[in-house]
Amino acid sequence: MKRLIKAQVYQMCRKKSTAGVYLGILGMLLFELISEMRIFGGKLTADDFFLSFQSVIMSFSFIVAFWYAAEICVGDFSDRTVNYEVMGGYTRKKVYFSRVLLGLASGTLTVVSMWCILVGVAVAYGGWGNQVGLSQMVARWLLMLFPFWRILCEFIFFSFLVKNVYVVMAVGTVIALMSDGLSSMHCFSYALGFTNLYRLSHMLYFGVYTMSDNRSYYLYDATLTTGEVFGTIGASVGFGFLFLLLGYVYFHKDDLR
Amino acid sequence: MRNYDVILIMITLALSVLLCLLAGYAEKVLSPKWRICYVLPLVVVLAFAGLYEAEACMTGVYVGSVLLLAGFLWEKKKIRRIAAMLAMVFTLSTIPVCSLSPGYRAPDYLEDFEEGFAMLREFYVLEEHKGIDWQQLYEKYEPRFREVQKEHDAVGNYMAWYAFCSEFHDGHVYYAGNQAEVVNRAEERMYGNDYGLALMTLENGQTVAVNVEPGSAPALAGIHNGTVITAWNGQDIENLKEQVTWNWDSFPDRENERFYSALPVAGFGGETVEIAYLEDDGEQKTVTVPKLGAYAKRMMDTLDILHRSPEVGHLNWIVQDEHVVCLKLKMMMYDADSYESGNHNQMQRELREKLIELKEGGTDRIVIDLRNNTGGSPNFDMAIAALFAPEGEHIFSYDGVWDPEKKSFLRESDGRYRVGGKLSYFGKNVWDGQVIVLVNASTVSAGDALVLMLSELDNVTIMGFTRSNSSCQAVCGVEFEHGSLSFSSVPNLTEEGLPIIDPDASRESTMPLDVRVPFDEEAVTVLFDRGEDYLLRLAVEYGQTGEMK
Repeated sequence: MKRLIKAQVYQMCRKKSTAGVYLGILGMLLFELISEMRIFGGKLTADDFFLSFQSVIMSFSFIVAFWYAAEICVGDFSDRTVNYEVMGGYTRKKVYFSRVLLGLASGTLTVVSMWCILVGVAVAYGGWGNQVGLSQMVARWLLMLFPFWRILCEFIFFSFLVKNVYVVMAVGTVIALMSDGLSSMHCFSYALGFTNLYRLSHMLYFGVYTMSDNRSYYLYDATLTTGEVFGTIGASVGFGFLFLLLGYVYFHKDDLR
Repeated sequence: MRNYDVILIMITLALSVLLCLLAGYAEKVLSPKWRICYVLPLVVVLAFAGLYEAEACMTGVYVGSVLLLAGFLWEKKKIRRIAAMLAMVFTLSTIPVCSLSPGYRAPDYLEDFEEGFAMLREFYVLEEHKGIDWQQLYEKYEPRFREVQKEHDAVGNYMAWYAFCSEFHDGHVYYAGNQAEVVNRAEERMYGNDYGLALMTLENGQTVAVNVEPGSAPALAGIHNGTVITAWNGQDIENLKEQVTWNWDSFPDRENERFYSALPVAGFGGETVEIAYLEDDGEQKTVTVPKLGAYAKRMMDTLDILHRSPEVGHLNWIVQDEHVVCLKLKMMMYDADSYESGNHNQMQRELREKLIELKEGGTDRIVIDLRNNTGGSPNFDMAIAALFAPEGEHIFSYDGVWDPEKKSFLRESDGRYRVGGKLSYFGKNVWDGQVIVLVNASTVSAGDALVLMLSELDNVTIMGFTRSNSSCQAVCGVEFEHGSLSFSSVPNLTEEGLPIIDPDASRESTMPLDVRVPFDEEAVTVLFDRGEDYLLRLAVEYGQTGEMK
């Protein structure tokens, strides 16, 4: 299985599109960050930016993660590399799980690295701010990795069903962009990965202001309850495992055509 | 049952039937794609559960969709058919469960209370000023919300919030339910039964009937507007006032509370109520009258009559006679842009031109009607006040100093707020004629603020049955699933660091009232029999003579 993973890594590293997609999306997000912070004359702090644009950052970073996962999981179906791996003696289990593990790892690395870069630039530019603690937000973001993994598992299952990398990428892009639209539906639920993410990214808040200098301050309650933590982890692990299992069952009996 | 749950049940049922039939077809027409179909119900269920939240009563549907996964895992026709049939049974079982269970889609009222209470405890700016005992409040209301949660009682939840907010005696602490039907039913439960009349207490301490329903049993017995009521259901009315647990407003001050105290008493009683009254010739009589329905509507109608003011738009001028014009201010807002920016120059220019025009036309008295003014922007207040104030700076209040690290307003060592920037305006002395300001208990927030600003001017007289509401701190709101909670979160301070306007724990209002209009027999006759605006008439007369006729 190590060799399969290495082969996939080698293949991804050699593709120009791998770096191009990552840098393109990251560049766009950085541009958005800097332009938003500059609009406010440098008064916008990093917490202001992330509290307002979290869903947008999630959508676009997910696009990259989905594309990588699609390429890794089903990119080799078109040229029958998967068939040759099976014929070459690798078990279907190894073929499947090597791709799944690499897809999850690449997606996680993509999203985490993008967020780290954005946070670093935002803090360097305008400071973190006082509306919500950085450590509290980081705890939320780490917890948000669970529904992200779950979504990625569901996406990988879908990829193995469809087996067409371009269709899968297109669907992944639409789903990632729709995740921002879900925020208008005001859903708080563990049932879907996106609604779980929405639940974690939106906190109870209200505003206070001072009349004499016309300044507004927003207060956020960023504490995580035990229910939220266990609910998120439980739902994410459960559904993630379920969809990976379904994907394997399908792949195990698939005729690979 | 909710529409989306019904739709989900129907879709899952239809898919189960289709997949049952598909099992036979898939055996004849072999293809690996058939397996994908058995995942569809689970995807649909997840989508619905994600969009509309999962519900315990819908477990049958969820189990059914999971059972259908057997068709994905095993390709045998028998297994697929059994799975599909079991899915149908589980899905159908959901219908009686959802229809009959009181816990179906029941909201978490206790969680809302816990969240709201925690927010109040942390951010309510008048806790010391009003002497709030958080522990006592929690011990009193937590069991009540727990009971409401257990009973899944939406109306009980609203009533619990209403009672809880009333404890603060702050016009800015209130809970707004987002379901009109729940609010209406709560009001019906709170205010009791309608017996065809309302009650008010006169200046001389007598309680009289008002808003008597023509043709009702009390009317037929000779009770009319102004009839003195001596007892209600065999009890002294003053005793009954003590038993009132619901009032239409949580009055910050005792004066307003006393003024309206008889109003809810008229809802006390069962299927009938015995009313003791004095006939016009002084003879004591009693009559037993049946209930007509819910008292809430009559009570609100009575309040509308008491608070009657010109039915014109906001910022409208109404000519009373050749010397007196009335300016109606319904709220402290001009338009959305000026509200956001705080710049009311355009509004001020328009009013200035109007005032000059009126002065040149011979008007020498203005009545500013602030009754039922719901407040808004203090910047609007200052723009208005500047037109009437002498030249020079006039300071209204001070801000607190916000500490972003501690997320609170800073205090001095003696507990007073640290004073920050000042809110002031510069007088333009456009109008130096007489000004009479009409107020009532529904003049609140920025309405209170304008009353205070204008009261400091020598040519202004504040007039009303009672003082204005006395709630002037800035407000914020917290949204819950089934309502929202608003409370005072930003202090408006005196130079000494004490909250302006809002009375302290003694509940004695310091709001100015230069002329307290007695609520007497004449007021009852003019308001309830003739349907006229009594206070406006008195304001016009006062302007002529400097006294009321």
